[in-house]
Amino acid sequence: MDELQEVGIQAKTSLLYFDNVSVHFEIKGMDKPLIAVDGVSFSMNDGELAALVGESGSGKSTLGRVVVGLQKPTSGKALFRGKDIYKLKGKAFLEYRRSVQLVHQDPYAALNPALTIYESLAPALRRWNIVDKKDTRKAVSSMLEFVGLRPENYIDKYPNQLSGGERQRICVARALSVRPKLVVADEPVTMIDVSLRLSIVDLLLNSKKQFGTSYIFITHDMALARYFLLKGGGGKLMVMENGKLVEMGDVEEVINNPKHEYTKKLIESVTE
Amino acid sequence: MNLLLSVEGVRVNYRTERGEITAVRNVSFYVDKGDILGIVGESGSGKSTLAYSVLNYIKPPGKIISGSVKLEGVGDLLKLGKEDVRKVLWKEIAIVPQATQNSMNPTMDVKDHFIDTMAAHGQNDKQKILETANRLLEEVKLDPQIVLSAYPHQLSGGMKQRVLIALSLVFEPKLLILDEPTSALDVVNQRLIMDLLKALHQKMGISIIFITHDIQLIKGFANKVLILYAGKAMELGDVNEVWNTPLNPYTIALLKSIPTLHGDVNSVSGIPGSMPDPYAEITGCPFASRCKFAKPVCFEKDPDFLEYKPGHFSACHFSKDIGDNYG
Repeated sequence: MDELQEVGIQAKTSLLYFDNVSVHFEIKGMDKPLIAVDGVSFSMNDGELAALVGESGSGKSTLGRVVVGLQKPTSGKALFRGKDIYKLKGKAFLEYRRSVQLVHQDPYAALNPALTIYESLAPALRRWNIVDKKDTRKAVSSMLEFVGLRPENYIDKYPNQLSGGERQRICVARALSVRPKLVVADEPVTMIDVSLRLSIVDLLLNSKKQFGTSYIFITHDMALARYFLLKGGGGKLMVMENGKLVEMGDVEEVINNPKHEYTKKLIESVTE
Repeated sequence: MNLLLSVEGVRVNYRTERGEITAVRNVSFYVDKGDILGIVGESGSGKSTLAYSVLNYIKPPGKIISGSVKLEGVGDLLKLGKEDVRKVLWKEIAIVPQATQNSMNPTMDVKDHFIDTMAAHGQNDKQKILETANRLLEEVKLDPQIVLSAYPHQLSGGMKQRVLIALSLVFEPKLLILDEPTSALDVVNQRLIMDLLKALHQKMGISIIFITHDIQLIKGFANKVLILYAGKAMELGDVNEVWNTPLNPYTIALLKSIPTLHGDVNSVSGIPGSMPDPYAEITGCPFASRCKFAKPVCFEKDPDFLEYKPGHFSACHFSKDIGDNYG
């Protein structure tokens, strides 16, 4: 309770509230730690979209991992619905775990090759009691339909029978099946063929429209970040360099009128 | 006169446990002296296989079934024996393979990579080798003092890529083939490599084949582009012409699937459907099932790759209509 008063009303009402979050990695043989995330502050409300851009090594994925509970920050506050993510216990922790999901970059590594699609998707539904046991197969089928795959053609297949784009649709289905409030999508289409990318991005946006899912969309591609935000009805662009959030604002404003040198450099490196 | 390389009707099959698949379907294209040709295709389009068949360097279970690759001053590379091909490699044509992050020997420093490569092709004068290495490393904007004695793990991805480009130039080849040279790099390093290649092209007059899945990289870099889909050459022509007045539905759809920094987000969209199963026999056009222009004929007859305007080729039964109505 004290903690809430300390950080104020915004922290309490936001879906996500990060205040001065840093992540340091101690590396053997180096006298100084590697600073992956350096004093990052931002907040997100229910149904809000954000895109996090920066080049490789800028700390985007590490920040994403802090959000989903996989990387404890060295310092700073990382709050989910006003509570410190890394102090959550019991029911509150489980609720957070279900509410915040991650879609990985590599759909080839994210699915267990020994399990069928049904076997990959069913446990999450069972784990969180999303549907009655007898309805699990039906629920998996409807998730497959949601991501544009005909259930009868996919439900009993193994990942190696599917293309990269199909696998990523399965990963999206799995993340969305537990009805999360927030999804961190870390370079979700980088490994997907160009012609299929936008269909998968549109899929993510459909869940925002239908269920009000919030997104942190991590990408190195400024034009793709803009597409994601504008197609989804607007949102904020966050630019990261060397672990620091160097610019943040409405996507149109940042792209048309970048303030920071690094943002300008990223924009210039996009060929049109 | 100006022709450097002419590839005609190349077909490459791979034998697999499930049967034979065709990776490259009768592809034809040409490279003039001084050209930068971009070869664009998605995964499974056969772009790497095509590059290696240009060098007659397809290993089993792959096999070049038919076609010819004529290099000016040398002849048909597909008719040469292994040893003769080796003589052409590096000296006439050099290739920078994909996954360059792993194509250096981790136990050798950069200097030894130069010595090893040049010695394998008959240059044993160490002093000369070092002079060449110094000059070429400077050419790719690396400091030879530091880089020559560095081991691969001490170099960043972008630096390794530049070392390999320098290495590919040791015998001043006429044609440099780069297979996805920037795919593993971030946008800033990507731009650096592209600028560097452009400068080398201008300074040394070398011709370049640049293979990529990213059609955007081609514009402003290459002067010609070849678009592949499922192993088939769909369109070939001047980059700006293909961009502004494409003749092939796949090119049109591909260009429409790329978001831009300032364009209307509602005017771009993904291409529905997916690539045909490589094991399935394709009787008509491989793109027909995803094509919004498709008519019954497209599922029955594979369209020929024809020249519709001077230097502008396309494989589609409706390229003429598209050309008349689109531009």
